[in-house]
Amino acid sequence: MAYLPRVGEVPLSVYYRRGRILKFLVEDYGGVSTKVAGVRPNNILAVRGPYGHGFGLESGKSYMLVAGGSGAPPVINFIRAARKLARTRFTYILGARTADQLFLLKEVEKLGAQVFPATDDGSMGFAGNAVSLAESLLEDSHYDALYACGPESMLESARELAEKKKIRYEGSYVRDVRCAVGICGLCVMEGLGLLVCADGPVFTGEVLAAGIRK
Amino acid sequence: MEGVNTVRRPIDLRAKVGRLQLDSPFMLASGILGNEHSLIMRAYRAGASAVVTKTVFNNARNGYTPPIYFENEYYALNAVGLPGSGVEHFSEELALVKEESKPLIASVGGTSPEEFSGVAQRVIDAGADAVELNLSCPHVAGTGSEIGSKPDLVKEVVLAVRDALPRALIFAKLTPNTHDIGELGKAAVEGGADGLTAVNTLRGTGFDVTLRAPLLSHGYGGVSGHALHPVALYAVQNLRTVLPDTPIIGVGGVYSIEDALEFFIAGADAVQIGTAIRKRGLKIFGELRDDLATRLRNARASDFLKFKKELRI
Ligand SMILES: Cc1cc2nc3c(=O)[nH]c(=O)nc-3n(C[C@H](O)[C@H](O)[C@H](O)COP(=O)(O)O)c2cc1C
Ligand code: FES
Repeated sequence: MAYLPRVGEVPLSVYYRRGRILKFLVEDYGGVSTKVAGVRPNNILAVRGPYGHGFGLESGKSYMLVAGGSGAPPVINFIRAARKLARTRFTYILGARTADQLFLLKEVEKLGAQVFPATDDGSMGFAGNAVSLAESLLEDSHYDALYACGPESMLESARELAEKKKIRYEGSYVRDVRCAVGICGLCVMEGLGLLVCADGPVFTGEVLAAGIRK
Repeated sequence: MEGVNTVRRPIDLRAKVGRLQLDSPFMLASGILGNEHSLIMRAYRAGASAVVTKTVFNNARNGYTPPIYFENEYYALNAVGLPGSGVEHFSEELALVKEESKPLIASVGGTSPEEFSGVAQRVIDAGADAVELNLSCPHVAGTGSEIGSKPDLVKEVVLAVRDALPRALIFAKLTPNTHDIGELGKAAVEGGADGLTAVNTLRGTGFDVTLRAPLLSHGYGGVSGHALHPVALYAVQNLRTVLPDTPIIGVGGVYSIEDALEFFIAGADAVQIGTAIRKRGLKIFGELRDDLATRLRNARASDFLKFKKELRI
């Protein structure tokens, strides 16, 4: 959570951390987030966290990674960790409406990883949505898992695709995170009894299917 | 190991708060995860004997922008601002709670006696087993402790709810932000409350020194957790003295069985748990049940009601 003193706090996703440097992406969805997105050098922004957990990673597996909208940060963290593991393969698809909204594309290229862009208007890379591109790539070769972070509609189609292909699914979900420590209940995954801040934000396909019945 | 000597006597943890029957004295406090049906079910499954929901108002409320919660080892501060989607939507949530054997208590808010009684009527119609009137939230203008610190207003609100619901089980949740909580308790009982919940949070604030900024976006909020415990114990003791026969639920800083037993010594019939859930998770309910059973066994007692009676001083 990033706190602009005396204004308010927004959830954020750190994608780079070394020494005293943190890099993160803040989405401007109005209100406090507009002000946080508007910070200038010498402004003070306080950070608390991190909370929750990211994508699961095992060596020797292959991963299809799909990010959309402002969903790149957790996938970038995953890529950074995955690159250090032996026999671990991944394909990264970054989707957006148009080319100039392909956030943090360069960040991944700097890691030496290949990015497959997908844009709705075809202004860069595959013309169409990121999950359709994932689907066609999954036709050609096998992956052990499909991981996704982005708008909920995208997560839903990614989950369905993984189910169809009978491979592992994990998705990073967004809700109204306020306390961020599992006490207010506002970030509930409705009907599942799960909290995005404390139990997520990444949930596996099995957990999403079973909820608290598990 | 098998053998006649190892057979344990069954331990009966059942508690009673007036007409409210509980399978243990450990209930979930209002505002902690009780805003949605699947979270309420999760609390029951973890062992809560009853759930008090998030406070609901007639209309939707946004609540405050984060930061809404701060905690250190001594206390928590919160100003969530009573967000919710309003009683119409909340009634649908209540109807989705499928737990027949444990009570569901709806926390009811309002800025007028009419709002309190209207919302209470709706949640009872939707299936709530009881209402707890939030006469005590310290950080929202026009409601909570602004009403709840004045005995005549407390009585007026409870009377209005009692009028609308002659047979419903009504608890009044009291504020410690007062010089005489006994007066508030008496007013609630005169208005027709079946029982009392004591207490809600104490008004308080805190600052981040480095940032020179308040810890909560609202500027101030309510103190809960360990620091509230002695305040809540005193409130229960005081209420028990002036109202010897009124059912009382103690709430404030219960983290361990010792904390709960203190409430029973002071005169509470059951306790609610809130802030401790941040650190301990909902599994605290199972742990408290086990710890209470152990205490009963060690005291060669077989049932909680008798054990509690003997604890009283
Ligand atoms: C995050 C949070 C939200 C709360 N929301 C409510 C509420 O909606 N209605 C209410 O009556 N009390 C509310 N309370 C007060 C608790 O129900 C309880 O009275 C208080 O926190 C003291 O108990 P504790 O020390 O075990 O937390 C809230 C407390 C916290 C910490
Ligand atoms: S944001 Fe409060 S429980 Fe998750």
